[in-house]
Amino acid sequence: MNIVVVGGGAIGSVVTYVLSSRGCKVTLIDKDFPGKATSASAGGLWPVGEAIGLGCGVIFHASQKSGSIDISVADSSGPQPLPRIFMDFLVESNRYFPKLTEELEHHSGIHIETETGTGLLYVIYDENERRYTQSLLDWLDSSDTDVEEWSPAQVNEREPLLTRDQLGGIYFPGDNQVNPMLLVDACIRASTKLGAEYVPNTEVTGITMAGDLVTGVDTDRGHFQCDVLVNAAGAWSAKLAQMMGINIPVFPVRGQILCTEALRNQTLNCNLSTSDCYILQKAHGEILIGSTTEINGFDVEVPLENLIGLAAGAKRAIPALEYATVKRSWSGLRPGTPDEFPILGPMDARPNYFNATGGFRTGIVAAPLSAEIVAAHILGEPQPFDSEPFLADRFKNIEVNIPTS
Amino acid sequence: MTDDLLIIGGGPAGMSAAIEAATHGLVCTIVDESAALGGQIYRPLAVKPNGQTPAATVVRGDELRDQVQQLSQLINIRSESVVWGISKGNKFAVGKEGEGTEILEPKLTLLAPGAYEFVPPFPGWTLPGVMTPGAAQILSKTMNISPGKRVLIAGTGPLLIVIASQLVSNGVEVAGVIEASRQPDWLRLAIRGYRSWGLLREGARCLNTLRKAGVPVHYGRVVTRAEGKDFVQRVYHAPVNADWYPDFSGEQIESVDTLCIGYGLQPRNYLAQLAGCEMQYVDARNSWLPVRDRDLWTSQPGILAAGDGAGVAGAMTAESEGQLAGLVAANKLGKIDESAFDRLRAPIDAKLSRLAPFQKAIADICRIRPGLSSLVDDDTIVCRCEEVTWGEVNAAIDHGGTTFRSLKVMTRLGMGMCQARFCWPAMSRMVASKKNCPVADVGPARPQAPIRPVPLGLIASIPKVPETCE
Amino acid sequence: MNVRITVNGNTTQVPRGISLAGALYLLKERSFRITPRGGEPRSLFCGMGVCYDCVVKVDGRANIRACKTEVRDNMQVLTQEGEADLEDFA
Repeated sequence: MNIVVVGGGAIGSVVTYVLSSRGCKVTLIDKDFPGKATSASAGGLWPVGEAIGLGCGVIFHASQKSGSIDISVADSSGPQPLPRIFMDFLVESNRYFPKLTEELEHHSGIHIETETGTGLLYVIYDENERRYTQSLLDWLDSSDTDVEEWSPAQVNEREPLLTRDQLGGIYFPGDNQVNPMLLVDACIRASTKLGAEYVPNTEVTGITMAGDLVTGVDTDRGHFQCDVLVNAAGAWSAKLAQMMGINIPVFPVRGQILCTEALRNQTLNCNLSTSDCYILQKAHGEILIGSTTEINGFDVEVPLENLIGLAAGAKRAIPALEYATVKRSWSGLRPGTPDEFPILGPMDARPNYFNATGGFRTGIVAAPLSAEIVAAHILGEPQPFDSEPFLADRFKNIEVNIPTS
Repeated sequence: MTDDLLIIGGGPAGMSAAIEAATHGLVCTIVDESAALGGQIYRPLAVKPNGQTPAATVVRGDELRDQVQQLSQLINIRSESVVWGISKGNKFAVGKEGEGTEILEPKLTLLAPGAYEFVPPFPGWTLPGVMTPGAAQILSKTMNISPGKRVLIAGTGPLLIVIASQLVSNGVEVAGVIEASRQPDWLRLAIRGYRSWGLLREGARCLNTLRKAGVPVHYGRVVTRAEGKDFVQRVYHAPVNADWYPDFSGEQIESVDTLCIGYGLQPRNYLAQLAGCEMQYVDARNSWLPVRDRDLWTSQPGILAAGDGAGVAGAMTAESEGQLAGLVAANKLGKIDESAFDRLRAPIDAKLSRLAPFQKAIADICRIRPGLSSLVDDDTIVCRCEEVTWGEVNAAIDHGGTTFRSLKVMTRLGMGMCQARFCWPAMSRMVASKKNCPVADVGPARPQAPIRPVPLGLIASIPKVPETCE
Repeated sequence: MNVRITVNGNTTQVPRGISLAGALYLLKERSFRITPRGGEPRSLFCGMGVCYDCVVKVDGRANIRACKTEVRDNMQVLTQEGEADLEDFA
């Protein structure tokens, strides 16, 4: 069975690795479009933080309230947690990372800089924020997730460079970080060692069909036959699916990141999140500050106002950052979906086609379990997780509003 | 007050543009990163002259600075300031440390950022004491400071003998000049004359100074490695064939404590790219240049480009292009009518035409040849900032990394403080050579804001809204 | 006319108006910093503020380009080892 995976981002490369480790013959085709979400990701692995809306979700919510985004989500009193199953999914996926890290290092020689013990700290600035974080904690109470409420003093003890102008924080000890670029690189190298073919710099221009079945993909470098097609094309997934006359509701959601010079390592102890931005120090020492949430098609320009806003948010949280040098910025196009759940697995209309997309803000942490789910579907194995809610056909009879701007 | 013309870069092109535009009544702002105008080549003296005749470039720079000063009611200078970001639609984020950022929205803009040196990687090029010829020139010419006790100058281009003779005149021991191109090419240039007598005379004068001081000029050779503990102590050079591939069996060693090495200039093109200008790779110039029409307009409405930043062609061409840009701006804003414009531009066009063949001939002689890509070994650092070696990049290319983005992501090449300015020009050639494809296909390094590293506080500052005076 | 600067603890006089890179060369302090990855010495390279190789710590702030900085009276200069430290900025 020849499997073609289109899209070499986090999901695509992990899927390729998982299938290759199972002995499948996989061809990974990637076109390095500007704005590829994985290379624009800061690499936070925040299953709990994101699930309850305090990771990138807070900034998402803030821009929702200000009207710069229009997606049908519940009410507007504060960031809403997504359905519990999503948190369970992310937490379960996060558990794969230690073993995956080891395997990838063994096969590829690359260490993907998975950290444990960093944790995610959401910093509370005002009473309003304190109120809604409290409601989120109440929601979390009934689960067995590890979450701590910290006083302002505790926040500063753990994070001495953080502003003293705060009301405390919520700490998620199980939420950590990885290097998403190395994750992809390691998966690709490991996969090729295990027999996969990697076809970079190649754009899929069409999909060949025989009735309902996909027979192959046309590219600017020729035709690739396949028995199974996996769509891991991220923000470009809808375009790819269109090539076989199928609509999946994936749309680009742009986010920007600022990157500082490399600073002495571990001056920031936690990954930080505030209502303005998130701040992570990566293994190399660079501090990443993100991220905005905008719908503007596939445009990857970085608007000056957004950079100014992110920089101001970082300075507010960590005053010393005022003197740190910003080296670069970039933007990425996250693959957004209307209900923020990923789109994984088969579709009735195309028996040998499988989705592996829609990672939105949690694509990196969700990658391992997403890949296992897709692999299980392809190989007819038992599902490692109830993935019914992630099937594309959930949108079949619903009118979906895809935001265009 | 909204500026009529924002001029980014205060070198020969920028100053000339400001003078011309202001002469026709345009309100101009020059933004420059340095404390004084002049760019690189027209830098003012940093210290009082030591009794020697100041260099012609200092004199010319002073003249232009004076002219700008005389028009100060129309020319506003923002020194020690940097345009760190551009939004399409001609909004420019200008920052100055200690003062924050302002967003300017001029009617017209001239990009005149100039050029910097091309240095391909070779073993030992990161050692203290290895610097560009320009760096040595700044020390010597503007500060009367010697770059070292015994200096070797190497690379290609007319600047080498200029700098060598300046160092000699300042009492520095120059071991020699190692020029990659062949002497007959230069002699042919002299014989044909190209109506640039001034430049030829200058070249002859420099060669004479070197001859009198006993400084040898070796043609057809390149530096192959530098060695030393903590700073350079020995430099190896070897003869090259027509494609500049060295014949290592002919290697010679020079004991020096300073190596000034540069293979010509390349334009600073990040501003043009960030502004969204259409770029093209010009093989003959080894650079990505903004596409311009004969009025110096780029593909972006309202944006002009002039000087070395739009194509390296020397200070005199830069001055004339700047002048032309100022004229074009004045015409565009209705300060001079079409017939006046045609009349005034004629002598500028004539001068540019006169200068062009000589500049082109020099560019041909000094064109970067593939042999410069063969100097590295696996341990050679190719990204100075991130200390990435050729071995690492080579492995990544084998693994499918062939664009700036993919190599950056796989190896960290280009992720450092110089924002790929020093690694990518050489690396794009090496990728092209390895993949057997044209350099144009590999693509330029793509800049993002901030176009120059700036303190976060500069970006975080709330932009001041410029006063409108209406 | 001179200014007094202190480089790695040693105070000397250097001519007013020169760049810090020039001053360091005058004082024969040619190694400006040690790189974070390879622990190698670096110094003045491009001279025009583009390469960021010549960075030193000036008056407590790291990553200051010596070639773009004019000497000032009482300037405290330290050659830099590895990366800048965020704690220094606090």
